Amino acid sequence: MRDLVQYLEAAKINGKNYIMPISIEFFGIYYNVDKFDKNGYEVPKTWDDLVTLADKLKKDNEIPFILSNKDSWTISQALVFNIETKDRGSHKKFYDDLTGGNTSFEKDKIFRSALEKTCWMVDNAQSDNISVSYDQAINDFATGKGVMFPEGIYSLPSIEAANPEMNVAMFSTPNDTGDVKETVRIDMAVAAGKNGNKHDAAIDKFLDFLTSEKGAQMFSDMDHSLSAIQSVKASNEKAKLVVDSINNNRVLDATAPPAGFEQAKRSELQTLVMDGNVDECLKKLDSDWKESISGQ
Amino acid sequence: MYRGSNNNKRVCKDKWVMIMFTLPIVFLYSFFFLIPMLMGFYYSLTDWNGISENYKIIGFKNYIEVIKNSRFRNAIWFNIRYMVLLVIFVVIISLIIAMALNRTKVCSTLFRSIYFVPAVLSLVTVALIWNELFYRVVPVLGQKLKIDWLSSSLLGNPKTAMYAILAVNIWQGCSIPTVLFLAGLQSVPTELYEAATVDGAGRWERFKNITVPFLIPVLNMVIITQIKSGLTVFDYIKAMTDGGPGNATEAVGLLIYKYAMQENKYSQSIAVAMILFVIVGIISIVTLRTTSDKQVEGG
Repeated sequence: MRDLVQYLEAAKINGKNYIMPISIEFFGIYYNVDKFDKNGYEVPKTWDDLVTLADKLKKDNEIPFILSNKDSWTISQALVFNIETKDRGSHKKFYDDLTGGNTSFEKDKIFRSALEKTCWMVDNAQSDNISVSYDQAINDFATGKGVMFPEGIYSLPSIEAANPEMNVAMFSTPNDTGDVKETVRIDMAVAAGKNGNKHDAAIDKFLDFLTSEKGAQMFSDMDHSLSAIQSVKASNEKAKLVVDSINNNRVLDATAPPAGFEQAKRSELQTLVMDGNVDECLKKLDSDWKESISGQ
Repeated sequence: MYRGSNNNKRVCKDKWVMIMFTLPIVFLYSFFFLIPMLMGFYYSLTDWNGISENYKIIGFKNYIEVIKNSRFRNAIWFNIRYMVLLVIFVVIISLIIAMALNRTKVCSTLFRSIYFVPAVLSLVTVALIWNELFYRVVPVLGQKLKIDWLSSSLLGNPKTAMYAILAVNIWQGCSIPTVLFLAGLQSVPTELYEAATVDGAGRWERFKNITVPFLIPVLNMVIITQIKSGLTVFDYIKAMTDGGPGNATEAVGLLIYKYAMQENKYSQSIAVAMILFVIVGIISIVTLRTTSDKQVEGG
């Protein structure tokens, strides 16, 4: 929780706090436990293990990954962020260096590697993944069309709703060495306006509830995310492998890129999924970054 | 009795009645259109990002930035192509359906209802249904027919995504023009057709010289509404592709939305909207002027 305390301190404006985090999201790879058990597949610990697993799945006529690349936000979050942050951790230094001109997307080995791995995942996903939306992918994974589904913990309620009988769990997205940084992000947070508000009492009452153990536990039970509220016990047994890893190697990433960059990035990543041109994507990201910071 | 005085009083009263009936709509139009437009124009001359407390007046800098931006130019080109195809296909298909319905005597009400049903469905509902059809049904047909480009979702291919969205727009967009054309066709006096037939005019000549002039007012309305619809298309694209894959279907309407709601470029989004307003206005005026001298004057 110390990282959250530091976050709250950094988020103050003129010495006052206007934002309260509620839930913490994390990413991994959902997998079909029944298919793993039936065929003796093992949860991969390194990226090479994942590649070997994907090859085995293809030999057994299974689709290794279900991806939803029609919705570009999932490429940015569930693929690139999911893979990149296992090596990077927090983006703070990277973004500061980008803005200060000390590095670039083209020069950054971690980002390049994440894009190459993303392209590999796309090549090992269902053939029409660029046409598949997030909701369609959830449905396809839950009904057994593919074996693995890289996404965030927030997808679990939807997977369970799509197929309540599915035996699903999540493992941690591996990196080359197996020694990952389990990067988590603040998902839901609540902010209150600064002045001129006639409903302060009602707002305080609502915030008290939202940040109480009862309210936050209710949220976590529905969402399966970790909670920013101390006494809440998250019910995410299906993501036990990831949560255990988070307990050992947790890194909070609360750094936002410049306004407008995320939208531009999503568009470039969707083009990458279609043409596989990592160099061109990195160049465009550098150009988009410069445009975003000049607009601020 | 001085009749002139009574006439003046009646004219005065008529004027007041007219003003009282018109006032509510003038008020609504001003409140919901004119005033927001003027406010928007003001903000388009600033650097406001939509949420900050402070902003500066920067003149026409936003307009220059927008026009120089290749994303805007690509979006305009997308809209022009989309609009031209939409107008052509909606006019032709609606007219054909209306002419067929005009001749149908058996179960005519049933057939007219069937062709009108798409008009009562919400745009987003239609788009989401077609999303599923393009993903789960159309590829199966393509595979059975052994047509490569039809064997995967048309929405996932940058070359076919625009045409897929256009097909959905045409499917829904034809319903009201069909009804309007049908009403227009029924206003054509049948004795004109009889006289033309007696004079030896063929089917095409009767259509061109009798039917079309009577349909010009409806045609005007349909063309202008479809031009506006094509240039401002948003719902279908947002629900089906969100501007993708890779900006292939990023229309001006979507650009306005993304600038304002996602990229913190609120004042630039209004600049784009103003430019679009001018384009739609110019095209509408040109269309009206081109077709006004060809219509039949009211008898």
